[in-house]
Amino acid sequence: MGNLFKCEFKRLTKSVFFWIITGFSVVWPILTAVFYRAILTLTFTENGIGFEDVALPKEVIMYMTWMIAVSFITELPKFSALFTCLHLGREYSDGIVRNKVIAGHSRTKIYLVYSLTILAANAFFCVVYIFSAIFGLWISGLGVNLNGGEMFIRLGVGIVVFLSMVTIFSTLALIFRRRALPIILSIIIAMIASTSALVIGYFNMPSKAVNDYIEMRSERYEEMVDHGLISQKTANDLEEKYDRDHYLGLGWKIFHPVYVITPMGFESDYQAATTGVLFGADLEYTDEIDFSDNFVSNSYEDMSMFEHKDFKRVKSMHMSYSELNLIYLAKSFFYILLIGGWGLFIFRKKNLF
Amino acid sequence: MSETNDYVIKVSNVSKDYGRHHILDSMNFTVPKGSIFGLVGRNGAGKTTIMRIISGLQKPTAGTVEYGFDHKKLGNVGALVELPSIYSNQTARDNLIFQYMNLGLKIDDSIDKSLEFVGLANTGNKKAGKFSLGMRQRLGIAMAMAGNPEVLILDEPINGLDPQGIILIRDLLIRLNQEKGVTIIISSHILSELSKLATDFAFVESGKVVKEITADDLENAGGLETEFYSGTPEQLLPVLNAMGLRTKIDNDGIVYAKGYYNLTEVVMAANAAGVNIARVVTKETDLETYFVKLVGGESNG
Repeated sequence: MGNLFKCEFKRLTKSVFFWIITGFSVVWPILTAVFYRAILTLTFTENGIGFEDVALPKEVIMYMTWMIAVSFITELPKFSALFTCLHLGREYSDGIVRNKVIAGHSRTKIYLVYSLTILAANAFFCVVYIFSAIFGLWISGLGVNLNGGEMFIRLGVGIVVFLSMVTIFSTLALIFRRRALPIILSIIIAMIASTSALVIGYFNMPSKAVNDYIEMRSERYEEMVDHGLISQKTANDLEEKYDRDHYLGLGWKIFHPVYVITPMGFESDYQAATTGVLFGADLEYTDEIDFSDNFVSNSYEDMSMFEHKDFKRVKSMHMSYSELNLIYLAKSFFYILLIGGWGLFIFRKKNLF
Repeated sequence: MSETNDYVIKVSNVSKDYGRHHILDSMNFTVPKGSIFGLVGRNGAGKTTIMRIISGLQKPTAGTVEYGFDHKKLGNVGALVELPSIYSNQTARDNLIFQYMNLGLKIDDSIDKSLEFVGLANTGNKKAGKFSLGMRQRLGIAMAMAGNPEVLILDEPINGLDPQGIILIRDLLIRLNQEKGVTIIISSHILSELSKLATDFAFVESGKVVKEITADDLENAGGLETEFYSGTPEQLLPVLNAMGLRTKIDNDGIVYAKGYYNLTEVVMAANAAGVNIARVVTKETDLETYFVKLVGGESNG
């Protein structure tokens, strides 16, 4: 197996696509950081303030660090899909897979080596991307805040989440002999995953959090009625309009199970947490996901005017990073094993000619 | 397996079905060690399928393939089934380096020697995708030869080659067999070429081996057949027999002789015996003729 690994890694170094995507992983996050800096400079200048005159709050720097560093999870999948399918597809189109079988390597070994090499290559892209983002933030003058290094753990989990998606691409490439089909399928999957991750993240709140929110909101309405801010009728109408089904309707019924089962809500969960920190400016939340983000964004519509800090003591609104990291790791490894195992089952039975 | 086996591969009752289609039907044959074993058959007879099965690319529906050598040892079987398995975006040398790495072989000057052996030493940075078919075939053979396999399986290795390419491959295979002792299993549509190479033949028809024969036996079974027309055929018979030819005479008095001879010597011997030869008609039974006779119809394989 060591021979096959050496050979595959050697082949990676000779792959043009590998170096193109590595180049992209270097350039893109640096450009993003430079772009952020330009926007901030422009905004400050319009208000007659020089960028150098402002000390950015560390929460803002942490938010930007996270946003740019974690964006590999939405930027890389399309390139990864293309690279994975082209790289592995060549093994079929050039007949190299059968060469290895004829040489005496078992199909299981061949499959594992292909899969692990592709995962390693993609993990490499992510690591390059993350460090380029940090470098970009530093050279652009925005600054870097990794939350005392804790962010590296989250980004590491993000890499595993990303690799669970890559496993789909590599499995498709290894079970279909024609190069075009897995490329098309993988790019479609990558695009669906990137866009639906945001939708799924919107439905991440557990039903208990919805119940707690509605209970708190009723109390808020009572206070507002008592203070003469709204009438009882308005309060009743609002309670009826923004009832439990408003939050746990068809969208939640469809997307929440997907959120629970798949690791696709990763970026949204941590982004919500970071946004909460940014707007709540409360460091108590820096190690917790904040489901309340979904409600805060609605609270202006239902007139309850809740802010992140209002949910500070509501347990159902929060989940610790350590718990969330474990959940995402478990989900991702489950998918890697499930999809990879299924691919191996097919590959072992496949006619390789 | 012990090294005392006189065969490298023994195919016993191997069948292969694709759904309701029976591609191989209880196929049997034995490949002698050190031979160049020619598989002869029409398109769709099952040659490629049995080669894939022997190579481990496919599993038979029924039957067994026994190996008279350690076929599980990395690189002990080399094969070129249908198209050469080479990275088209890499040079010949890089392709060989990858193959060496796959087999855990040391990257040394044997790579350059292999390239020289197959006549690709001067291809430089040219990618294999830009090679001619013959060059790709030779590179495929060099890849298959990495690790000094005991058995080389070649499916149609001269298909689509120009005459010069065919000669190069033929010479290469003969050298591999004679200089390196590699047993070669080969199929080809070009039976005239196969007959120049193979030491043993298996004739495949409808998924079965209908005949196994050595090249020597094939020559005896076929070879040159001559019809001698003479006024005194009975007197001609002993003259021809004395020259080592196998003879018979039919009711019309035509003398049939099998075997190779020098016509001048025959005529002089007949004159000396006072026998007149009026006319001589020769007919050579080659591999193709033998195949057609064996399976009937036109040769297509």
